[in-house]
Amino acid sequence: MEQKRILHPEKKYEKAPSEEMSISVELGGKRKLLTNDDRDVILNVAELFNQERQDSKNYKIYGKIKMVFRNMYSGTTFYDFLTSKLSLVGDGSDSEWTGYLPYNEFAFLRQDVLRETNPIVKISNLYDFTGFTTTITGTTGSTLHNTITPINAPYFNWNIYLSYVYAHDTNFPMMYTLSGSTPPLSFVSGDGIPFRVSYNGGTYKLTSPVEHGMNQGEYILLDGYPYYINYVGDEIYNSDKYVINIMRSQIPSSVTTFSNVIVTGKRCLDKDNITGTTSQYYVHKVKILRRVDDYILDKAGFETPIWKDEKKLLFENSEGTNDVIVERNRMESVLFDIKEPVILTGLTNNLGYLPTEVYVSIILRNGNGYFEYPPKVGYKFNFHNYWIDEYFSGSGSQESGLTGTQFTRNGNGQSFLFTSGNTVPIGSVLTGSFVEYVPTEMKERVISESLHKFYCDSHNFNYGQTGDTATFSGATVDNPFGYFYQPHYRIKLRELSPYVETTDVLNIENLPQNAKYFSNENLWKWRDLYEHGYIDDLGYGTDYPFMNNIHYVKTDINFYLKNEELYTNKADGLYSFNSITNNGQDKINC
Amino acid sequence: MKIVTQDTDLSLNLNIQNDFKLDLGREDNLKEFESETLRDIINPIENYETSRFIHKPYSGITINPNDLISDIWFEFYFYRTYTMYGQTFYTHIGGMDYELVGITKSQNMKMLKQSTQSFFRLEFFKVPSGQKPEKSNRRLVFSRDLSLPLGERVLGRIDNQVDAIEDWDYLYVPVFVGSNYRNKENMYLFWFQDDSSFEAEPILTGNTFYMTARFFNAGDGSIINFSNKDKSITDNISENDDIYFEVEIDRTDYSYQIFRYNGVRGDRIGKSGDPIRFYEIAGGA
Repeated sequence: MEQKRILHPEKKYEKAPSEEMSISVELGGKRKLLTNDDRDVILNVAELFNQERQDSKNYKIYGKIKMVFRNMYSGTTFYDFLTSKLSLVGDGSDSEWTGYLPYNEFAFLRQDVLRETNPIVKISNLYDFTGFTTTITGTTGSTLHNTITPINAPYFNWNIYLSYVYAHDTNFPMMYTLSGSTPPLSFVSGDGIPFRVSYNGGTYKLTSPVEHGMNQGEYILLDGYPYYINYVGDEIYNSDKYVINIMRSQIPSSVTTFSNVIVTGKRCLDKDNITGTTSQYYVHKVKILRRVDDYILDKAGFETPIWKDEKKLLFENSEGTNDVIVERNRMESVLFDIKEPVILTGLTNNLGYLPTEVYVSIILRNGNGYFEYPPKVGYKFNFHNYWIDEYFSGSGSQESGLTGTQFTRNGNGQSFLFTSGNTVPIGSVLTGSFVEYVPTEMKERVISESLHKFYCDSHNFNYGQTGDTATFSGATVDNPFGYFYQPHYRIKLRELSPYVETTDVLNIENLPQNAKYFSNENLWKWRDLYEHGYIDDLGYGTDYPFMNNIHYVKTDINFYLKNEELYTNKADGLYSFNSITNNGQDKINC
Repeated sequence: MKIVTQDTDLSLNLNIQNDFKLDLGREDNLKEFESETLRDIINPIENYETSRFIHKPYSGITINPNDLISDIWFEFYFYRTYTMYGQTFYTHIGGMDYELVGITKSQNMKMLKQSTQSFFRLEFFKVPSGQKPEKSNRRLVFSRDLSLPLGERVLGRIDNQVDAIEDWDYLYVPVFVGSNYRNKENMYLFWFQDDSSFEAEPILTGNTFYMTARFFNAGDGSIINFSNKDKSITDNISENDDIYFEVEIDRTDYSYQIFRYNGVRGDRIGKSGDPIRFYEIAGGA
């Protein structure tokens, strides 16, 4: 006989709220026999609303993006059109045309659009007024390099896409570089996390440039061999997240692993079950869900970020035009709105179940082509405070899911080659986060978000990106320094429980899609899918406004666009209070 | 007493939970039917999400057909009365002047209440499919106010034009531009992306609207109606043909267009160089 166990509501998942299961019937009451086939239904609007809410698969994605950026590279160009637009370091009175790229080249909403304006009509008698003759303004837009109109301006520099993680890649090529003559270590994502090896006399210290996620008492798998982690951290604050220590006494004398300067390691929980308890490391593959024109970008009314705009009035620009206002920085706050709701059905994420999160992907479009395209993809450990990473040399690290179109323009008797980005069609695949998956916990941990790096072709705009500077070394023609940003921003639609549920009952109904059978333990394991409107005591859960059969998911994104040369918070996250380097200027720049 | 034993069962054992399957799934069907009925009659899910519709972009700003703008232009003409050779004339020519409706240059220039609280109202109506709009069959679905200070300005002479010293200042004129770059409130329309919730009221479904305008004068409290064409003060006004412009929204690209309307749809109007012109109705029947 088939056995079924019916769970009470409070047993649906840990700490699930209880529900009324019985109806109190007063002793005194009117009673009427139901006639044959009549139905008696208790109406409960709150319950019905909750049912509709749980059943709805529609999610409206919208929110705000705030640009956090300071335009720090000043340089020169022979392209006279661009020279006339530069935000000059001086005021133009000395014929010195060194300057910063105008902020419009970085803006979400360009303001230098070609548009019609009304000339000021001077008229004595209004009965003579017959309307305006519109004119194309000569100061707010130009057709010389590219024509930017109010219609294409929000899509010209950056594009916003909706995406989700549909697969992962354990063979994504990676590299970790140290300064000086140490050869870089090339590895693939599945090899784990890079560590710098040092010997303290009795203990090998492994320092990771990213959070290693390991604990004392666990194991680290190096060259396939599990080493016991004796303790984590050193004398520096927060170092337990980056440093692990292995006693030399446990290392066989024949092992050469620790003679390397850099190694890669994986987290392992049980040395007797290496296969089942070793973390998997991979890179997310992100698939585009929507087209480029499926969103609206608009100004956020009345919001003024705390950082200042930087404008100046030039005496004259390189064209000899007097009293030109140039803009080096503008603090932008824009609203984005994905027009159509996401219908969360029919998708499968990299772990084989319906995604619980989607991504807002902000991708450089580079309409004017001043930057090399496509951007390169790296991770946090590919960016260093004082030197450039070999990983970015050449074109091998370019984002393969993005393509560009080349065009030329002439100026000063020379030809200049530019590459602007193409729109990314639905189904395109981009590179996402570097992730650790812990099989026993059935949980992913983001080691590093993917980062896009871009820079100018030095022929088009030269800010010294191909050589050493006073504070930054290693850049070459093949490996210039530039800007970097995080392209993919996670948006939680559903919440999986932070704990793992288990059962040894084989035939259990309504298991979540993420349930897996662990044959060595004879257990089903899964993470509960929290209902909408439920937030547990740890803060996990979702409670989005629900109406029109749509969940309204609002997301605010701080978009950090960083200068690779000057941003000095790229190191491991380890900051010794006493360690002052770089002539005492080891402060954080933007 | 005698206990009699026999081989036959004297009782029938029933489980607490029974599933005799006597109803051949009827109970399940009824549950489903019950659920569907409840969803239909109690708080059915309706989608009242409104979307923003932009004036459909058009080319012409450059010779490149891919260079698009979406500016929309409105002009409002009041009746001007003047006397020449002892004869009184009525015309819309030279009618873009708020003085013609009693808002003086001074009130206009100084942004006094008469000026700032006067406004044009664009009214959008729906009519049953296949019918021409008229008061008996139209339903006002939304409106858009163009307040006087949202309009364009000219540098006008505000002295009496007799004194030797000229006095010039900026004056608002009844010309309005809607743009996604500036004056956004003059341009965007908001309507339901999904009109399936209005199936019970078919008049509210569909993509076609009819637009007309009125002017609310804060100076004297008067209300002025407008026609879609320049009609003489003695001409009759046909409500079907002379009042409205046709508005068509496109739910696929979230845009709208406005067309001339003379009982039937005419050309697109509202682009740069071809503004939507409203003319004051001062007479007729």
